[in-house]
Amino acid sequence: MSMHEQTAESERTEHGAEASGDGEFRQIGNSMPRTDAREKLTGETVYTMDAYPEDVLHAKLVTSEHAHALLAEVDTAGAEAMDGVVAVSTAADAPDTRIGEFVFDEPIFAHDKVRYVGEPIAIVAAESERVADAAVDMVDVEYEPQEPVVDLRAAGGTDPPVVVHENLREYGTSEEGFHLDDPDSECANLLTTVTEETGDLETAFEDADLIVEDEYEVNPLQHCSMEAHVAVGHVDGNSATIRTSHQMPHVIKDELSRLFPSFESDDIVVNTPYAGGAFGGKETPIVEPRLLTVARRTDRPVRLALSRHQQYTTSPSRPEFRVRLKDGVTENGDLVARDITIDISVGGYDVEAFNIATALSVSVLGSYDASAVRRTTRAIYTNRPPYGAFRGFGLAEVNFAAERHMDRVADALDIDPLEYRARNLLRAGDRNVNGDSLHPCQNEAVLRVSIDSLDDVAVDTEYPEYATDEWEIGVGHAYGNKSVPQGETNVRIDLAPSGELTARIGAPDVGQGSNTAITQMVAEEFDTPAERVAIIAGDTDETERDMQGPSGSRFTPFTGNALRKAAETLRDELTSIASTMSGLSSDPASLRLGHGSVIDDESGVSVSLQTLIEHGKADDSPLFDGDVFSVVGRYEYTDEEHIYWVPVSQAVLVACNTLTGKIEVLRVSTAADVGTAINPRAVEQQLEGGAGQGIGGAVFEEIVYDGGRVVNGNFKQYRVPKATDLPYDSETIIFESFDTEGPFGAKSVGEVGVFPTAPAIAAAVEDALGIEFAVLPMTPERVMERLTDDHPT
Amino acid sequence: MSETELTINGRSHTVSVDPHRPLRDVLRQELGLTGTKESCDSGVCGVCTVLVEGDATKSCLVPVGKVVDKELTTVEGLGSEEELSEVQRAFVDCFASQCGYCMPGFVLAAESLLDDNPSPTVEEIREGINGNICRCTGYVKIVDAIQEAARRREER
Repeated sequence: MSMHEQTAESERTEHGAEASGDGEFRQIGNSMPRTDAREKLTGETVYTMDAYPEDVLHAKLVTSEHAHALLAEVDTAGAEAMDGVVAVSTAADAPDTRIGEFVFDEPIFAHDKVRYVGEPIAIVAAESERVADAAVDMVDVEYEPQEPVVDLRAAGGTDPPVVVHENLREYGTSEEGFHLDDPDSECANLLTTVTEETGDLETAFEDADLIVEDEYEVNPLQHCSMEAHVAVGHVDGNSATIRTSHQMPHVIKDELSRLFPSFESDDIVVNTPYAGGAFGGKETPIVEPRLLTVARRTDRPVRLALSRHQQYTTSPSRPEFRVRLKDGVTENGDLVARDITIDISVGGYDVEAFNIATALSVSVLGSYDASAVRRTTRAIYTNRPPYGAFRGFGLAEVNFAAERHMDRVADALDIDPLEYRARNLLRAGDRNVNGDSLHPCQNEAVLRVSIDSLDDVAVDTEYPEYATDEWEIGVGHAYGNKSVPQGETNVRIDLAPSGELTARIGAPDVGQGSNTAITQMVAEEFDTPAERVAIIAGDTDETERDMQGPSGSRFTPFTGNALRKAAETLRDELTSIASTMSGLSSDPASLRLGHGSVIDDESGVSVSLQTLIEHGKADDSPLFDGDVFSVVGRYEYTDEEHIYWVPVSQAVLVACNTLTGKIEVLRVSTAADVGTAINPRAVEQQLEGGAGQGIGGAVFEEIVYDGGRVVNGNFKQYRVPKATDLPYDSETIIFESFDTEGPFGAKSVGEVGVFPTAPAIAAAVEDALGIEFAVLPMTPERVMERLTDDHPT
Repeated sequence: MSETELTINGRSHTVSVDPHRPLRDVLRQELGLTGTKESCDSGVCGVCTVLVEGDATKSCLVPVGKVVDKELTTVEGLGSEEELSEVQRAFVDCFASQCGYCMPGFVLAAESLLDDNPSPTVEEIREGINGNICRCTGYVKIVDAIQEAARRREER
């Protein structure tokens, strides 16, 4: 049976948040059912994919069939002449601006040249999907194919066979003064190189007793959100409303304003109430600018959904990573020097690779203590579909290399890999190479407990079906750590005369349960039942500016702390008004909120929120806005030092089939110190789901290309884990060290669950079969290849 | 185009559609029953699952003309206005839902599974939901929920 409930409970008692800081919580720490669950189970939730406004037109994209080609002609006449086709747009219709997260390199529709298979060339809007599909086939595109470059090493060399962007340095960038890589760079396809060096690397390597070097490779995979990228847009005169399945509606609004200068910024409204999964794949503009281009041609609403195949080609996937690691250690196992070089594939355009490269360079060594470290990250253009973030912003992929390398070094030293990690683990108060101080947390316990929890598994009796010669059993373990850097967010809270509180937050709930967490925080702040709290999320017209979104583990600290600030201002105003009323203390500090009232505990007198609102209105309270008290809270974090680190470990029990190469994960145990668990069951959801995605990416998920073309871009050929692919025996061990910066002591938990999974499985495969794995995924073919290589018959 | 009569959730609907059109698209676009979702377009993911004569069926693969005389159940037909079905309630209580997009399909697959096998083992549940993909959960809590629903159905 599954042990997660019982374990989470017992660990909570042992390491509970109550003991560690903010006194007792009423709502925080309760596993209240998710506020969105009921309507999602009944099918009432209307996702963007389900929005078919009256009179809607269906749009489809015409995309490039070549990885690299000159565009000789795009002839839309045949499509435009079809019955039921309302408009066809190409680059000729689009503003002369370029999309890009950092470098503005991608035209809204290709002109002159295409740089990946799947690049949008035109869009058709028609009365039905079927007509739109037929019209796509009638758009005549004449290409002059060129040689593509798809190999990361070739593209990133000093004399690449193809230069993806001839005029790279002429493009604009999102940060002025932050120039592209050195124009004299030896590699013409380099989007950027980020190098950071701490300590005296040369001396540290000289002093090391042993130097271990190796290379690791992580291949691309797809997010496979069940709801594809989809948007429904409507242009009405000078204003545009776009509903989209996205993580960052406020970012999309800003980007559309930049891309379409004909709209005033306030005339664009972007709305995402929910998304059907995201995982980092819905952070940048993909469908929205293409949709808006054609929507300007009609006064009817237009809907554009990517096909499942286009998810692999036209929306971002997780990049290819090549990591070279060189560690220097002393003979007693102290890590003294690390030199890490990371190459990532950008794809044809900078969807997110620049920012991934930058983020990796600062957060790649958060777990261990090494005095001298050099980190070099190179982002290299290729003629592949653009790549982006996937649950961890590159850190999970690099963690595979880094954790495998810890095993490699421990092996070379003949030290137990767990003890090697423990010896070098940063302790509370220590500073890592970034200068970040580790907040008090139980990271060593986190490190150890997951593997310890597998000690008592009796494989022969619990998994008898694997007790044949065909199967070898192995155990593996790995560690990970996620940090959260700078940013800012604003949250508004409204208090209505009825006593109902509404939190307006910019970041949508894309599945991780953020609306439930915020509901619990508001209920806690005002000591009110959760039923009295409403959430409005993800609508740029109804919420304050938020550029963090549910992205990079930033929701909890940014939205949570902004909300706390708004709540504090509102509570202070309410107690201040109450202190002017008869029967209550004139000192606001001696009053408190509770049960929909402000209470004076000494006199026992209380006054309802309704009465206070009436007083506030009469007294012209500065917080009064229309019929409600309305307060904005802002949280800004500007320190170079990261907000906090979230430690995680995983241990797995695997069975490897020596005849087929198949790897089955029989059991996974995950431990993390999440700070205060706002909703422990929801924390388990994130950690279990992370492990599930980690297993898929470790053992079979891989986008297969033929040159620049995706050949398995569908769910029949690209295997997404099913229930029988993932272990039901799953244990989640939650530690709750109250964090000094997190709201109510809470930390983020959305990404870390995936961090240690692949290196833990690779260690288990090594334990079972004696083969070293430095490549992901560990498909049956690769396992058999290694078995044959290492054990020739 | 032809006049097609469908029986959905015990009610009769007449739509004028091409009989080759997938049932999924008719439910979503003609009848506004968007609890039936679309995702993989190839009969793998199960978000479009409906019950045809009680059997879990992928509606993206079924031409609407093939189900004219069949009893169809979509997620909108489960439970009642006030009360969820045991399966739906168990999914809520067991935290089985995250982004939720796959949930209607899972609920219908689970209803069908429990109709056929009222007290399935964990292995039977895992096999039984292999026609449905969830990208968020890792399935642990979905299996928990179906076990819990089986217990609650027994107590009915």
